[in-house]
Amino acid sequence: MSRPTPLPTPRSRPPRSPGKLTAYQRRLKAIGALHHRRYAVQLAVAALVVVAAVRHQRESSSGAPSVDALCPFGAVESLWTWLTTDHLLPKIHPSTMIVGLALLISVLVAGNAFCGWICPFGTVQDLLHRVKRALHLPDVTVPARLDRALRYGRFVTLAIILGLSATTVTLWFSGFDPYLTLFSLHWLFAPDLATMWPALVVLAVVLGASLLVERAWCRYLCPLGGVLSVLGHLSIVRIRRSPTACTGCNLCVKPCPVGIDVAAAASAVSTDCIGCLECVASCPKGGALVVSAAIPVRRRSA
Amino acid sequence: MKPLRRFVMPAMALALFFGTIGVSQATGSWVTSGRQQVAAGTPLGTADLKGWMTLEQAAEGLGMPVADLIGMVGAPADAVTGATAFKEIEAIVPGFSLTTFRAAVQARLDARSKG
Repeated sequence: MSRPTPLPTPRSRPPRSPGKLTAYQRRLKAIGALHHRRYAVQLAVAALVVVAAVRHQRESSSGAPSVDALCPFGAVESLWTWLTTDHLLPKIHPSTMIVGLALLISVLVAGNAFCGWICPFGTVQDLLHRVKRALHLPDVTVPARLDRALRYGRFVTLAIILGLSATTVTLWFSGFDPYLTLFSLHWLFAPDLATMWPALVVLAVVLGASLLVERAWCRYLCPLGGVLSVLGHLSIVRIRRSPTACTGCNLCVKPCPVGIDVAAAASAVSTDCIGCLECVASCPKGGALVVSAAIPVRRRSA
Repeated sequence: MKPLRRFVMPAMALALFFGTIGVSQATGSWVTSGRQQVAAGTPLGTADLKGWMTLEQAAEGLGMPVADLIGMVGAPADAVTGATAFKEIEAIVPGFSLTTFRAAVQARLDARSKG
């Protein structure tokens, strides 16, 4: 007596065939390839920053840069302070301005992919999300209206930091910056709770929040993210949705690390997008979500 | 608007970001520290004082006795020596600011030149 073949459920993986892949298998393969590449790039950049921090801490005479010399946000603080007070911030490294310029060029051409592929603090938050998934901790969904309101937090943070930097003509935020606190490795090489506790509290709160809500820092508080979300409107290359090709399956919404409702995008995906490409890889309909340039790109005719 | 291969986006971001840094390194514009080699005997102004400099280096450049500079720092006895860098003093003397210290040293030098 033959047993009936069970019907495939949406969650069951179709059998692998050595030859032609099904559409589902192709999509899984695309998602896997994306994850491998993105995590490899993110970890490589984070490793570079950690190596720089270790060298700076251990070889003080080597001239190895401190991690704030590798942070583009210092350029924003410096530029604003210079424009508003005609003074330069002390302790700012010339390299910070170069990193700021590099980021500006990158964002104007390729959108905010810096956040999804390069930023080491984004990498830490992505790792926390993976830990959360491995531990089967529940996802916290922020209600849509509250989410929209909280996203303005990036601009509030930015305004506070720029205001205080200009008023005090110091790198005021460096004492609280979670990226600097974590990656400077002062907590490891020269721990001093008496002076570091405010920064450590901010870091703990941010990491805790990122464990509950994926990329909480990027979504709601990152001042650089606020700047980039404005500059993103000028980006040439962006992820775009074709309302005619989109079937409204919503498969692109859940994987977005910053909670963008990609399926509801009118044309270009929100400038909160971090260019991680999770939505594009998850999309089962060819042409519905594409990376495209806003200027005409000539293609060689066959 | 023509669709591009999706990895063009991160590839361009990486190339432009690290490319700009690479170009700045190749042209000598990439400076990650204010630290420079200061030849012995090079005269310094107060504006040249940097956080990485030791009090000894500063005293030599300014043409002042190192004991005067140590006294001006206002640190507890023996907490600061000639080998202490300005940036280390910030951890020893609460509220120490190199900007304020520069002004104080300049005032001392001005008074000395008038006297």
